[in-house]
Amino acid sequence: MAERRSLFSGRRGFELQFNWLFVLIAGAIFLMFFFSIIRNQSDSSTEERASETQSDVDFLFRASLGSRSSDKLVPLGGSVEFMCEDGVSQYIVDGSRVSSQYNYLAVFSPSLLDGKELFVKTDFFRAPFHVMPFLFVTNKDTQYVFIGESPFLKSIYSSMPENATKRFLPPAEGVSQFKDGSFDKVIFVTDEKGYEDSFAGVKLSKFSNDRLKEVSLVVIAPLGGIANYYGAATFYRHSDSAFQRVDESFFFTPELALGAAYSGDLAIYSCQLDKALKRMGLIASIHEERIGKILEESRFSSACIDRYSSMNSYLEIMKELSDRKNLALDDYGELFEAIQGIKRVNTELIDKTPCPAIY
Amino acid sequence: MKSEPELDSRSGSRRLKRRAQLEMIGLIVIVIMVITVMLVYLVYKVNNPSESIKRGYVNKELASNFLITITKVNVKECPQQTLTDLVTDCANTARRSIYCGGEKSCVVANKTLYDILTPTMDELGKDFEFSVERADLNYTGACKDKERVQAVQVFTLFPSMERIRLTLNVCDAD
Amino acid sequence: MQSTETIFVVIIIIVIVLLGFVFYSRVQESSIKEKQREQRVLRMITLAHALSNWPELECSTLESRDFDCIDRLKLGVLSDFINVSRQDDTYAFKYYNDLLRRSRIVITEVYSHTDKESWVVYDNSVESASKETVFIPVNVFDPTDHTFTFAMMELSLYE
Repeated sequence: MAERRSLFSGRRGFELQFNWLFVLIAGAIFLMFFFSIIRNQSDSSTEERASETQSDVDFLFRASLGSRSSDKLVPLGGSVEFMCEDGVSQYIVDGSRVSSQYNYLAVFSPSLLDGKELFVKTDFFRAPFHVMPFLFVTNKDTQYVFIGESPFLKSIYSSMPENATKRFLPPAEGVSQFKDGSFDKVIFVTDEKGYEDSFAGVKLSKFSNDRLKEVSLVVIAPLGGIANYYGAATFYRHSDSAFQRVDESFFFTPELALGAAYSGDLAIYSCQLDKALKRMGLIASIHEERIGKILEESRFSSACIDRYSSMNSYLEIMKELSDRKNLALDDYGELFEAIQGIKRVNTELIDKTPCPAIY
Repeated sequence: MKSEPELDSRSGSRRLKRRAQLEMIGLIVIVIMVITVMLVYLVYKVNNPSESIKRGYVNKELASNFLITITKVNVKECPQQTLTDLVTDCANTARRSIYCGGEKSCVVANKTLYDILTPTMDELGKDFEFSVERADLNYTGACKDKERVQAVQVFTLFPSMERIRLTLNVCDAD
Repeated sequence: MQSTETIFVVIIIIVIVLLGFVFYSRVQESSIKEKQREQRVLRMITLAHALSNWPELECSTLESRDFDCIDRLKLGVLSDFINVSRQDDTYAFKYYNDLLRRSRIVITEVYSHTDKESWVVYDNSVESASKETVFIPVNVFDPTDHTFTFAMMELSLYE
């Protein structure tokens, strides 16, 4: 009987063993290689998606430079965080490695927006000539609650898109009993009277402590009601026990008042206000030089020349105040008056003279 | 005569060699297939590039933007009139009243359109055609048998309130 | 013999995989370049549209509510304004540099009832870089005599 030789004994057996080992090692290398490719692809596709969303948002911002006024619904593939530090505005999409800056636009929005789509409203900031586009951005998961009955509050309410999550809270329904609707953010908007009547010393009892940090309040107080569209915007955050004052800022046009309501955040609002002021100073300079060019043609009558002179003085006020830091309420009052003055003189130029208008 | 085991081992090794050869051929076939697929893909990519956004924008927007801006210009021969004034006067066959620099509105309008469009479209590498309904205003033939983009501007005639169309076709030049 | 065969087979497979990898990465590279180019062109087109509505250039809105309309007086002012702000490195220059980056904006009158003019509004071009250019027809409005001329805005973006 022939000896049963072991499969792995002898030279042939050694080759077989060697083959298997070789195959195992090669197979393991291949598997590792392909797994790493799959992992890289998966990571890069997440980044690609985030970067596509980021470039969509960037494109939206740039396209808004060219539109006068619009309301858009923009699909969003993740969350967007808006930041403003040291005068630099930037936003970053969840999953993206780099943030994008947007220093030539003013975007009023809560600091973090999460969800499937964004409501984007574009409107031009006028002083009273076109200065720069303002973007008002929010989503369905941010709730705006208006308290008060003034025409001023109603005008801000109606400026918000129809499908935004907004409501008026009747005075009878106390704020302390306001129910938590599980929104990402709740922004209360009111005027001075509304604050005194409804918020002073009040705690939102229906919100858990964790949820309270997503609640903020903006008190928009115009001096002299809807006719005098300038005043203070005071921002509050809810601490454990009641609304705490953060600080105040100011507004001097309807678009800025709307921006304060949209953002509910002092840092974001102040940053955009600062941009708006600088840009207003820049445009005022251009208009001033343009008037200089008009006046170089000496064929205009004294009626025109007088109006251009008063226009120049209003533009000077704008330039000077836009360069100054830490403006007070009176300064914003001066800006408001300068805007009204320019509006009035421009209308006179168009209605009563053949001279070129300013805007 | 060879012994049976010798014959068996020879045919066995021949079989083994044949198998090895078949395997090599299979491998070569796979390599050739892979290279062919790659080449086909490359050829397809080169011959069918994706349409540039720019080309699409330029072709679609150019024609309509041109019409809107051209018709607003004040005419050299009579600066108080715009091209719109001349085109509508030319189309208003019953009530032509504008004379521009001593010439009829149709003549000046035709010349102005040609003067504006020719250098501009040449610079852009495009050809054009224009025509106005019911008016002696047209320049056609340049875009015949070519893919073209069309823009239309509508004018209202007074006092009849009839509407006429100014049509501009833009196509790539040869 | 068999192990030689196996080694040979494995080498061939590795070569095929490497070839495939090289091919894939080349395709990815060209697709990324194409996407970058498309983004650049898109950015240019949106900027071109925005420029026509720029407060620095737009026609007086109360007198002439038109798009693609540029004020002649503002044209005269703006290029000097940008040049001066560049020398003084003011906020204005930072603003325009941030918005326009490496680009060149030239407006040239093609048809005018007066002498034809040309304005270089912004020039931050780079000689050696690749360039994308788009031409946009615009009206140049003179507010002193309320007349329109026809011009082409040439917007070039450099990368």
